[in-house]
Amino acid sequence: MQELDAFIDKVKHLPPAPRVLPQLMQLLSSDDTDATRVVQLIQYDPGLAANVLRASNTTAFAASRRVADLGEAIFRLGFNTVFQLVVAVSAARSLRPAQKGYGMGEGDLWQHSVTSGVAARLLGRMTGHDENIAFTAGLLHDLGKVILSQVLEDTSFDLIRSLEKDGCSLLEAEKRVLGFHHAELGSRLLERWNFPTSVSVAVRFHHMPAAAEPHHRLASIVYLANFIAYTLGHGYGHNAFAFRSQNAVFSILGLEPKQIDKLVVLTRDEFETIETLFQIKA
Amino acid sequence: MAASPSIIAFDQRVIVGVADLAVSNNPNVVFTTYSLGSCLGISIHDPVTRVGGLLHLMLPDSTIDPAKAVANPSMFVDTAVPALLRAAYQLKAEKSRLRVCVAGGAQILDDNNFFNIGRRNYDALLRVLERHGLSIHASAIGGQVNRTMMLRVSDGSVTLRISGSKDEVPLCRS
Repeated sequence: MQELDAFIDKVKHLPPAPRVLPQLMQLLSSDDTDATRVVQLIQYDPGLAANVLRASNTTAFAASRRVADLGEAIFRLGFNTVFQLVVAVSAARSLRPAQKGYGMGEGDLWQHSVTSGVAARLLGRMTGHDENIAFTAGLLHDLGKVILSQVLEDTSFDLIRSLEKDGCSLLEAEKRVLGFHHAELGSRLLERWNFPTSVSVAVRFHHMPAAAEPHHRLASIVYLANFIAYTLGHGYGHNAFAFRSQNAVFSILGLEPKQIDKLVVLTRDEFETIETLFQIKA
Repeated sequence: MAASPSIIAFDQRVIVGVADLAVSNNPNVVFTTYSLGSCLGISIHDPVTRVGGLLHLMLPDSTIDPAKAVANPSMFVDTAVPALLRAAYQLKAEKSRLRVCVAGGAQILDDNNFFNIGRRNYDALLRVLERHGLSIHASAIGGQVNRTMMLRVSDGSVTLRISGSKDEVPLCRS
């Protein structure tokens, strides 16, 4: 923990803390949320407000009249969509740029993250897990890469490449070289930002979900979502497939392994329907 | 007398998306498909009629979603390969001359049948090609990398770019 904090404190370009998000999560988790409080939270962030308004006027939601009022926009989109949009807008600022240390061009990590978020939402719905939490964990699972990319670019990249040639996973290679890996780093950042424990634990264990108890179901959702996103060909970096197979996720989630191909197709369909919604203006 | 000016032909770069295919007999066309992870890129080329085609498929078996296979046959091995061949035959490609190249089929580590979409794609491809009496001329399959695949219609040459490397490597020369 201290090691992670010391590292995070030294980083020059830390992603901006999404201040609204933890508050919104708390708000939406209570049963009697009313739109005025959500409006209050969003209206002071011009980027968020603009994106919520824009989304409410996309073809999927637009009525004959354009919406210019935030309250009406939230009513039209529904809390779940507003929430997922806020997560996505907050995250886009960090995830959109190129992550050169991982061989990702501009938009690559973003596309991988959104696809993972969509897959996680789908899996959440299928397995009776809160879809907003699943979406958030899926979308943010590689947040640690944003920080580590800067380091890998400058120093350790060649070393990591050679470790991969030894048959290591990317995670194991990062751990050997740096003492920690991107999942730990992303998780610690989310903790510092006051995200729910379930999300930070699922992010930390998204490559070894069985170890995430009591949040192993959410971690399994994120693991599978990550795999599905790679299968869909979205947002690769170098050696994107250098992670270990975790067969336990199927029994943890009560899914049949043979369902995986169908899940890939379903995620692709869902991704296409929401693509315009998440064309976020950062 | 001055030599007549030569006409410079520019490459027409055509991108083939995920779960999509394209064929052409225009010699200026260079097909490119990106992000081949566990997906397979399959190129075919007839050197006589100079017809080339490139396919980027995702999954082995269309029976998981027959409606999807009708709407988008390029998604599954068993529907995509026949669709690619049909499109090429319409442009006068002939089966006996077709050169087939394959790339992709990446795998995650210590995979044992649950997540092996890359290998299942490749196995399904071998079965479909055998049924059509075709064999693979050159391939770059497996590993943990993702690949970009390019086919030049004029000469049938196929090149690959592997993530992490700037260089293009030939998979199949003209």
